Amino acid sequence: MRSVPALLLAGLMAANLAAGLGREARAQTPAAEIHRVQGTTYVPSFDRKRPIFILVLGSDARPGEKVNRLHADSIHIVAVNPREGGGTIVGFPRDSWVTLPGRGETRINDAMVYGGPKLAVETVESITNIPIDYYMLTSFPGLVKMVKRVGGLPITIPYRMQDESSGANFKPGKTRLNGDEALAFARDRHSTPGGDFGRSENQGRLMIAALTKLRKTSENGPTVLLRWIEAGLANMETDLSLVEVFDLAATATQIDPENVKNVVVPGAPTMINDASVVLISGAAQEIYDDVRDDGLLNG
Amino acid sequence: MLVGAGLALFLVLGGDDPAPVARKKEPPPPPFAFTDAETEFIAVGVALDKVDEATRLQAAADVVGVMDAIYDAGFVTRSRWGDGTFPDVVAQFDQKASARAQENLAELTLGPESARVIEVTPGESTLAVSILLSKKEATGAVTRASFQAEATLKGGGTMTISHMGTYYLRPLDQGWKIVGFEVEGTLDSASPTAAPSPTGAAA
Repeated sequence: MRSVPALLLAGLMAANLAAGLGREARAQTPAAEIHRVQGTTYVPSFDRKRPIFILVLGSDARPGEKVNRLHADSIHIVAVNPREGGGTIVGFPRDSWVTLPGRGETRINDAMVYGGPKLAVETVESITNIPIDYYMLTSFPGLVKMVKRVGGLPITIPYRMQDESSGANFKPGKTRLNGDEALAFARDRHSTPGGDFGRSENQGRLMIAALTKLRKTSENGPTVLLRWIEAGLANMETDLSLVEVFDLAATATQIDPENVKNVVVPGAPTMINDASVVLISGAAQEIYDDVRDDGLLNG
Repeated sequence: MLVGAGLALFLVLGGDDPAPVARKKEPPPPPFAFTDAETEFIAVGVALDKVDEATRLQAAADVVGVMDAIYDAGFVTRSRWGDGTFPDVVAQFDQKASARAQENLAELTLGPESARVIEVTPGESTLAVSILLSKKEATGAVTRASFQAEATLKGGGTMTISHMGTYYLRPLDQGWKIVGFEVEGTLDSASPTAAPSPTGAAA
């Protein structure tokens, strides 16, 4: 069974701006007249008045296959609020029954087959009325290599996961995923609550784990950020320029993972034309409306 | 004997230069520079050894030059402080970032404390530079600076300066400019040490 790799390097799920001015007076030390502590941050900005929305796609392409013309089985909007230093990850079950612009009704993951990432973007925009600024697309081997290149990802496994088809075999609790394990974690839909809904949520968890690691390791020196950029760009397709990736990655270091919400649009499985699909619930509209203005859920 | 002593004194003092000794003006200290900056290159979409070495070295020199200028003009060389406006510091930022730099001069430089400072002596400082290369050119850089110095204050006393910063730079039309920053610093000033008071008073 093919499924989706989640993706992406947190460094690339970022946003812009983020300014924090902190000035703090500390208690005087003996013989000291002044002890002034000062700090401030300003990261490269896209100079936008609104949040940035990136469509993060995981293709089910295997080695040698054309990544951007196969099913996008992992589909997430990553919204980043530049000023608040937070964001939202909105996942879509791959079997969501939607209308593709110019193509009619079908599963959402068919969009990339019919029209590449461009049609995937147009489809998500038409469903949500959220303007997508950029896309990022990776594949099974792309995800494995990215995670490997950044030295694995510490993550908390939310529940017991055991699934032969994906290779997932994890106990709940903290662990560190290597590249292959990260792919298995992202693909498993048999031992997750709600099947594809749980899988999509786990793909979001993986992105937050990457963001957490980026923030932590980037304190070790200036090279870390550039190595993450290099690892990401070597294993993905995107319409971001290198300069934009540089800015986004710098911004990512200012995004607090605690301020990133991870949700999957609500829906219910059903059968249409003898095919198992998911009908997205009308309640999803509240998520779209909430995230659209500032990139934050309940913000 | 007096003649001999006079002759010896003449020779010792340099009898071949009978002209009066002119008082030489102290040369200004050289501008501050990070010596031994560590530089690393990361290439995207191309093997590192395919990027022209001259391009790499030039980028490294330019980026280090910006960092030298920031700390020299922001902390060390008084003549560059511009009465607290630090124009040579602001000039190192790109247009968007310079507005933020203006707002945050107190965090990026000595700030208002500069008015109390007579002289700054740099201490042990370090700089790490990472440069992003793509195909035939440098695209961006991230630097991490750690700057230590001791300032002499007007009216006596000293101030210990400790400043750390991460800077994001890009090559623009006007050369390498800082496009983002994350800085933190401390300024500790101490009074002149008072004479120790007598101890061991009689019981």
